[in-house]
Amino acid sequence: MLENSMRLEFLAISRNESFARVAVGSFFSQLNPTLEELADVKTAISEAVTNSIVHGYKNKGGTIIIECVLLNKSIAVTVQDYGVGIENVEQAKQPFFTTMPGDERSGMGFTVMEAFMDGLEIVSRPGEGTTVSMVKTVAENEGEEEQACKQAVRQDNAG
Amino acid sequence: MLAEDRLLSHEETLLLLQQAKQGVEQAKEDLFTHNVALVKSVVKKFTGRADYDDLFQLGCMGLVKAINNYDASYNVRFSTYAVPLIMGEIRRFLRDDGIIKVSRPVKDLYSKAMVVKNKLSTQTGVEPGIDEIANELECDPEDIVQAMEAARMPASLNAAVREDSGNDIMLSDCIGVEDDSESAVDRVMLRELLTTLPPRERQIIVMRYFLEKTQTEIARQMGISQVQVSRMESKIMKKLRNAVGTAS
Repeated sequence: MLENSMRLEFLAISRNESFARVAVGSFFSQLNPTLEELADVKTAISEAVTNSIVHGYKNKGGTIIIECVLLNKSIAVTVQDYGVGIENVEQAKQPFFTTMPGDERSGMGFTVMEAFMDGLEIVSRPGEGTTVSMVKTVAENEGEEEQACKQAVRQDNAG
Repeated sequence: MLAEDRLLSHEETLLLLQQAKQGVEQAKEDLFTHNVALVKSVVKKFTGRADYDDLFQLGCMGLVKAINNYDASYNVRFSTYAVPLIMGEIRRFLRDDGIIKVSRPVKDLYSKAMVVKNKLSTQTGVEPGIDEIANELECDPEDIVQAMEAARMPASLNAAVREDSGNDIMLSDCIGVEDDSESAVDRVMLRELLTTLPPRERQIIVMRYFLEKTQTEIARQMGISQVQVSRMESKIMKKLRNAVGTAS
């Protein structure tokens, strides 16, 4: 049973989006995901971080906190900001819906997060901030024998 | 077991191919061993253009494809059939050599990871985990995560790069050119590039490939015609195929 956790705090600027993706992706890689599962998580992180930067803080900066927990075969991630918050979460989750009309946003952020992760929860208080929680479980893709072999190889490499 | 350096006659080859088709592992192995020289001779033509081991590995993938797909009704020697497939694997890989200015070790690692991923998928029939890929490449999984990040190119940079006339910018062998279906588009690349698309295009791709809506449904939601959605989708897929990746 694998158990691990981490917490990241960084400036809400788009420059840090890639850093957040790689940090969470690297942490998640401990669960031996496929590259596709890895891309799922990294993309979901992109969406959540972008939401905080663009909507939460209206591109004026602030702090984003990401916390991750690894438990057995799952990762639980929370992305939190102290921005303006969301008035109507259900409405925000609808595809195409955006509070920035015009040609700038696709309105697909939450749709992508929901499609790529195995669970999505949004908690928000207007004026106080938003916390997005997501879970991803890696698929069972090998038997006990393969796992034992891998473990032996890992120990071998480490030694 | 046949002596490795003995050349197989056409009849012997046909027999082994038939056995291979029936799933006889030894037959597949024998075929492979006796035709490795073919791979080496093809790879020789491409020396200097990429790392020898990479080319050899790709050539072997081509050989495996040939062994799996050869049909006796083709009426040609196996080597005649196999050589274009071997060359094809190598050519696709080389054609993808983009002009991306990423540090060489990182670029190498990404392209190597994709090659290993495809190899392991073919070998085992299931998608490999990042541990298996890292193990093969003798690096940490985290290094691969970092290298994959280098594969993402923002859409605006694509435009600048395309302005360089004469540069043949092709996507990695991960994105097929045969048809428009998602199966031909590497699902990993599709996700990586998703966040770089402009809003309208993103909407269409998410609806089509991740929510599995029909073009008609999307048209209705976006307030445009189904024909317009179809045209935009083709355009986007073409753009994604031409997108610059670190590829090889």
